Amino acid sequence: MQEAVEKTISPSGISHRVNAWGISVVAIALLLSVPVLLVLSYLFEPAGEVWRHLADTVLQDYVSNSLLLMVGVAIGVLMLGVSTAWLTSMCQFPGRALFEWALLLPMAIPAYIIAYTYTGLFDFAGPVQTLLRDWTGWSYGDYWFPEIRSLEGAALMLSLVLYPYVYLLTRAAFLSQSICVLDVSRTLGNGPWRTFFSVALPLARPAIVAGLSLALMETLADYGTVQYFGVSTFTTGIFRTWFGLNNAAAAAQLSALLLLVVFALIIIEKGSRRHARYHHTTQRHQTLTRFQLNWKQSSMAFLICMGALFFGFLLPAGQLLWWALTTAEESLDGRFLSLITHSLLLAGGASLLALLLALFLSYGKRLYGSWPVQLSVRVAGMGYAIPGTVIAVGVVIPFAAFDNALDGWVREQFGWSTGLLFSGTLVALLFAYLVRFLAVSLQTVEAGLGKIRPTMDEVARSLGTGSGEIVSRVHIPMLKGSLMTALLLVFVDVLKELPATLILRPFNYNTLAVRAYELASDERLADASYAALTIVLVGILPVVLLSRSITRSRHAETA
Amino acid sequence: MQKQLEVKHASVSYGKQEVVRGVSFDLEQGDIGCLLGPSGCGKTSLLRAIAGFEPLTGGEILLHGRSVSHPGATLAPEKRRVGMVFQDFALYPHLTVEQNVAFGLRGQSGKQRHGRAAELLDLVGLAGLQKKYPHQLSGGQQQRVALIRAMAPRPDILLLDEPFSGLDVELREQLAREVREILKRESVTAILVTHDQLEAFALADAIGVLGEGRLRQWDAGYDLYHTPQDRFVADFIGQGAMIPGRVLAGGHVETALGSFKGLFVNEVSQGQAVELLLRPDDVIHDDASKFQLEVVEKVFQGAEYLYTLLLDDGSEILCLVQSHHDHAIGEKIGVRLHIDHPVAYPLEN
Amino acid sequence: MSFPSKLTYLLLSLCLLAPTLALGMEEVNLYSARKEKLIKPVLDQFTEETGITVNLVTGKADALLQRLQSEGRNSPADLLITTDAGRLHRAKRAGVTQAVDSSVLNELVPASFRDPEGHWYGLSLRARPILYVKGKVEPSTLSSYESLADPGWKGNICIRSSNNIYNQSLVASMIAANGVEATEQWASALVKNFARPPKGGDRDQIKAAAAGICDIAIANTYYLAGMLTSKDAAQREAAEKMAVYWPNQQARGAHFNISGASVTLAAKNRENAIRLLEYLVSKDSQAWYAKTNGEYPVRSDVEPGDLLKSWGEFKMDTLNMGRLGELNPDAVRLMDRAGWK
Repeated sequence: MQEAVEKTISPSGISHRVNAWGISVVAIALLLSVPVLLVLSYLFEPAGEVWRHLADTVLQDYVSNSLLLMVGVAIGVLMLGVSTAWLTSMCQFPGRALFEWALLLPMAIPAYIIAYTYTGLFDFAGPVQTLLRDWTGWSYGDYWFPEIRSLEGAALMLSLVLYPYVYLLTRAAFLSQSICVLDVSRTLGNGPWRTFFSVALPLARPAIVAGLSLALMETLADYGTVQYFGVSTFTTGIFRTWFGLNNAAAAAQLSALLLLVVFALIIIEKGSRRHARYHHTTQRHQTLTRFQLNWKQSSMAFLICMGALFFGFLLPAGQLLWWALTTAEESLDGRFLSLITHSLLLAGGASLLALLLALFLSYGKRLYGSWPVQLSVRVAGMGYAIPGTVIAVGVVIPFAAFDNALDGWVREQFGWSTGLLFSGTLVALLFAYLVRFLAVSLQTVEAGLGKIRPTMDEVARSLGTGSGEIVSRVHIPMLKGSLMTALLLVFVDVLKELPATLILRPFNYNTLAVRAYELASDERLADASYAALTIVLVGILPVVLLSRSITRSRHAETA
Repeated sequence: MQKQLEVKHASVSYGKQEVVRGVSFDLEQGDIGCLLGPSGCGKTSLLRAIAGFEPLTGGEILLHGRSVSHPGATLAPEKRRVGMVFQDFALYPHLTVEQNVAFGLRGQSGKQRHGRAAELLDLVGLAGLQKKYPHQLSGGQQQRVALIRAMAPRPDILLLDEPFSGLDVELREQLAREVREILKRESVTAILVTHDQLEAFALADAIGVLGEGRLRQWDAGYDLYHTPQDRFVADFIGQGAMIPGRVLAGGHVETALGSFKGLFVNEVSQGQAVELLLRPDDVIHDDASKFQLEVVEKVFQGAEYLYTLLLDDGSEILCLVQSHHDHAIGEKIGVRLHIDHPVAYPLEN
Repeated sequence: MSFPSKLTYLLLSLCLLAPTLALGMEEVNLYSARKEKLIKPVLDQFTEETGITVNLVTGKADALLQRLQSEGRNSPADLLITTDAGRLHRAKRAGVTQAVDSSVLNELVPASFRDPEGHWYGLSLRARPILYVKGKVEPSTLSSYESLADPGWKGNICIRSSNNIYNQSLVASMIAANGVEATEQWASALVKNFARPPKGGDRDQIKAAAAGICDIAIANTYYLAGMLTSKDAAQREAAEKMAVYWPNQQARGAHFNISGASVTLAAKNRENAIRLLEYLVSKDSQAWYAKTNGEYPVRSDVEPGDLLKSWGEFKMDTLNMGRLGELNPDAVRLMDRAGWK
């Protein structure tokens, strides 16, 4: 008997596994933070008097514009995201089932593309104002029209494509709220409105903040929109300092400042999630009964949802379609097919890798959550808010340095050259995607994993279930929704990603985003429409799947 | 007969802190044991060590005669044939009630599993709820599902970690009695961990009181109450008060409430200063007594009043009196002592 | 094999294959800041004629330069193409280019459009003149870039953001001509004449002028050409309202920039890279460029095409292109100080 015990026991084996897993988590996280750390390392490099120049001239603009943009986007995404999430999950009105998934569609539109289409439509020379002038006989200066290419315009554009993050997470939170607490509130004499503000909203706050922080990180990293709209933000400032002033150190220091803001955002987000534990409502649920709206309220609800959908998706997509059909000189050919294949391969590969890594890291954190592990997982997710170009350069430098060092060593030892092993390959590109988007899948997976209480594992083990079986019988079924969400979010993000793709892709490897950008940046918006439209079309499918998986997972995740 | 569970000098440490120190006890087949103690006493750590979730830093644990834990070797929980019920029930939200119950049944046909689940659901009065999901059940129902899920594979021992603490107070005692009945009917060996003595009395055959990582006493509930082995157990179990006394020759002890002869549970030597444990039912209301004490507090408990009485030396004792003896605070009432099992502890100084 | 490990296998083989795939074939590897659309047809033609495969990565000039620098001696790139002389100059200074001594190139590319040491060669010229709305502006009131700072143009000039390299090099050329102080005064005065805060690209400035927001727009001519030949009627209409004015003709000439190419220091297909360079300045390629992209050919013996000819002959600023690159940071600071967004 004693023998059997010794065999099945791994003497001090557990502590070994602790180290192996913990160390790999720290190692992976460290590897993924190399680009970010590279940026931070510039903090210690003297940038000369350029800082004085920046402070005297443009820094104030960068700071105030970035802050105002964040405030604007925060207001925008909260108003759009929370209201539509509440309406589609808690109220019954015509078209609700359709809006449920359709409201996610703007996610498929890259921010700079929506900026181009709105400019095309609403600029002074665009059809709307031209029509207005033709009707009224006014000319320039005779009338006021909102300027789309402005700070407010940029905030609006970003809000329209980023609100789905808030919508997505808030809706999931509303759906998982016990209807009982809402009923209690109503028996206490609160109407639907007060119930919403005094009960549902505070309960959903952690989810709202999580969605908001994603949207704000995207806002900070945005370059295309603000650049096109002539709004000087931190991001445009980084590029101007780097390329215009040819001062990489100062540019990296600006990026490092940006990172500090992100740190703050992350801390706020984390703080609000810690709070979430105390926000668990009762374990009992009734089937969700939605508020029945009268016709007046129904049409209000319909208008709100339709507004978000129309301005965030239908209008820009319609404009793209119109361009594609009428004025585009570009046409679909064999090369176009390869663009689609490349985009799909990259998005699919990156989202899968990000998911696997997120699983590995968050399990490591769950099982052996010592502070080095916690911290390194946190740092690994920082890349999300850094402009893609900065990440890309942060990837180019260490990869090339590694390749060259290896090559030098091999030349010395064996007299032949390895050349560049990783630089200029898909490996470097996928790595950059991971650095940039790991935060998205990490957040989603961690949130899902948080719902599996440690006792659930222990029950399974006491019932004779091994680790592998626990994963397959308990974790995967419970995590399914979160895994799907993580996969699809990264998929859509990579599909839209531009700067890193542009710099890091191998020879002759173009994607839809690259094609759309090249034509658009050459001010051939109409020609860009085919590629842009295809990004949107390819992005729609995962978005719809995403929505369905959330609705379905309500069951599993709420008990 | 072979013991179902033997715990020998078991110690558990977290880092440098030893939370369980050399605990020993054992359980026969079909016995229900209980680890009772205040929070932080190490009872849950000990339970988790028995389950295999914590390694031992000293001693040994045997299940069914087989050594499953000793320092440096811990048989994995899934290989121990233990069943465990947690405070939060930990039901799987993605599985139905039946699937939850059948979770640990392996190597059986679907029909067998179905049958076993039905049998257990029947046992706890939940027949017909097979297809429900956990969130559709009440707290008490969830608790019972968690219980039979752990029982389903017929484990050698069932471990219950504060299984009632998530429930309403009224539900607790009722469920505790029900659970005892179920366990006895199925002849399951079980250990309960709790901080609630009433729960322990209702459920367990034998109770171990833990304090600061040590097992203070392993006994039946009655003995814990009447003959606590040390001051810790005396304070923790039941109500009571201590009065000072001095041991005289011939087993007599002298106190402010008179001297009397008793057969002491623990060893005391002549001339020693001791403290004597007085349970409220050791203090008899007797108007004719020469000891007249002032009432400083009274609590109405239905059939009885619990009076707190003040002694001349400033110490207080408790006295249970039938409730038709209604005395006002400040009034003096006569009492005498009637102690079946006098327990005295040497004064610590 | 499980799915994830299959994937790793796939990725691994992809990454290992990618650099070696084309080994043994005649090829040349190109880092190009010129958009694929605007160069691919010539490259295809080159491949057809020579049998040399051209591998292409497009991107922003600075990022490509950074990539080239980091990759060092192992860089796969043979040729770097940019649309701005400043970047070529920067590449040379960074030591990632090499001198080429090709009699063909030296003969066909005028000396002012190439590096004296042969590190880079111009491929096409991109002029940045003043555009005005026909009928609203009397051309005789225009004279030079400098004159646009006259208070008389208040609220009447459209120009894009100073983030843009075309404006940076325009200002750099003025610093070279007039010095920092005078140019800063000029820039401050010019900013006061802006019709609106700078936004959009060059085409947007043309559209704005056509729509009546301003009478003067500063834009590169090939955008005007692109609009005039666009399928979009609105763009054609807007462009047709505009006329080209060549400024500073009495003195240094109109500002222009070049697109050009450098053979990299790490080039492993040096001969092929030079062949491609020579091909890009061949008559056919130059004519195609002028026709398709609306840029001026770098060769004086190639006609720029009817549309470009219709804007007339002009004198070009003969400043050495390398200076534009050197003065670029000064130009950016100056515009920062002048409040040019």
